[in-house]
Amino acid sequence: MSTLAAVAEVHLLVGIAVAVAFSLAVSMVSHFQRSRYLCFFGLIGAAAYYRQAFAGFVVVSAIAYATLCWINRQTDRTRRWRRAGVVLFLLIAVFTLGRVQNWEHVLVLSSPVPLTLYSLDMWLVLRLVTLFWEVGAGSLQGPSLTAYIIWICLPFTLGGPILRPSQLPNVICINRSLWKSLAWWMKITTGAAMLIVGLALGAAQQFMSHRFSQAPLWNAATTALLYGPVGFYLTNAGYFHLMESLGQPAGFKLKESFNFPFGRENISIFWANWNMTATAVFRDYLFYNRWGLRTYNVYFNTLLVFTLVGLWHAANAYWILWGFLHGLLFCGFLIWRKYGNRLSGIPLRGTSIAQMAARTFTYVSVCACWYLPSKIIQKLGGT
Amino acid sequence: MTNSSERTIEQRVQDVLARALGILVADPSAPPRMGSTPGWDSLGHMTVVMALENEFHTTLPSYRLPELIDVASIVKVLQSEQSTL
Repeated sequence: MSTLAAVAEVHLLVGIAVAVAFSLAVSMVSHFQRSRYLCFFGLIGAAAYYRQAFAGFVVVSAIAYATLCWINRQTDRTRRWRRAGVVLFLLIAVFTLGRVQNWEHVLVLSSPVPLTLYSLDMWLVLRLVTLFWEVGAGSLQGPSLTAYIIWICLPFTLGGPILRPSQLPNVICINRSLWKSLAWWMKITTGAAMLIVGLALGAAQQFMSHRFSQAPLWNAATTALLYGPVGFYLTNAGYFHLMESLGQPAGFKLKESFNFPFGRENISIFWANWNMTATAVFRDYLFYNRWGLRTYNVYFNTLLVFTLVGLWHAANAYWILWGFLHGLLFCGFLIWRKYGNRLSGIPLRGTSIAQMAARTFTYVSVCACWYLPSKIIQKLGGT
Repeated sequence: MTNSSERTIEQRVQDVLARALGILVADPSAPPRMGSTPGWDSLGHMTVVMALENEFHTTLPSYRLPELIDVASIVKVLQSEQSTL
């Protein structure tokens, strides 16, 4: 587990280094704002980020572009959407199968430096989903090869957040003055601080578990309520904050991803402020979907969306259960929202104490969804 | 002709939003917008969609629903869907 954490940390740091280099190069040297240089630097950045998996990234991206051209050739709207629908289904099937069968470690070319021939991580699949959806729906014409390479290799989005193809600027407007802006540097410092604290909490969790191994309940409580969720949030929010900030001087405006999700008064507001660019994809493409029917079942869609969000994280029982539990929690909120007004006799309702209780309940419930899946799997005899 | 029919659709859309979201008729300084108008969150959005479909006797395809974020975009989508019929 600590090896995985170390690998993840290196990945984050490489991502930041690549983003800094790209942002500096593009914003400082006018020549580099031309498309061919953006492509070139994007590919270099992606190679540095993916390393041995870069070949797999190129293979998947090339197949995706060829598929995109096939969708784009269809001018009839309904048939275009049908093509996109088939491609989306296949994409998700390949992604899931690849995770289950561990293709990234199986499809490896034996060479002096082993090269992975397949690489489709959670961020790349979500970006490709937005691409096929937007082009299939006709809201975007298929991008040129140059625009596609710039978008797919954009360093600020390789590990999140999501920038949909329609959000890629047609004209890059750099803002060199940001490098001298105090407000911008404060944002960078905030992002870096969040990331450092998040990583430190992870290290602290390991230290405390080792140091106080005779206090398993204390360790479980602090892991579930503090180190786990808060550390995860600060690490990811800090990284995304840095990407948003670094994209600005280079002319790429990324939407905000995290807006203080903890301490919110219900699970709906929590999710409306958590990893917003990614959750918006699930919301737009799945939550609103009526699956060909005239009516809309909010409970079914909620459970489906959250379970798939879990599956998106990883194809294992822990994450699927994590997603399902969040779905149940959200359904509980929906039921409360619909029928809760009938319970007018609840004491302290509408008071600040009730608000505090609601925020506490939401926080504890979110933490429980992180903690419970492993316990449930243990109880059911899994590992 | 096109302008008056657009205004009619726009007025109807505003009325639908007002009824579906329980808000007053649109204030020009604060036009209704998904995410900004109280009640028009992702949950309220489907209420808006169903109300629009009932008003305009149409079924909007799922892939267009995320585009319906304000009055102007709703009018655009409705016109585009009606022109493909």
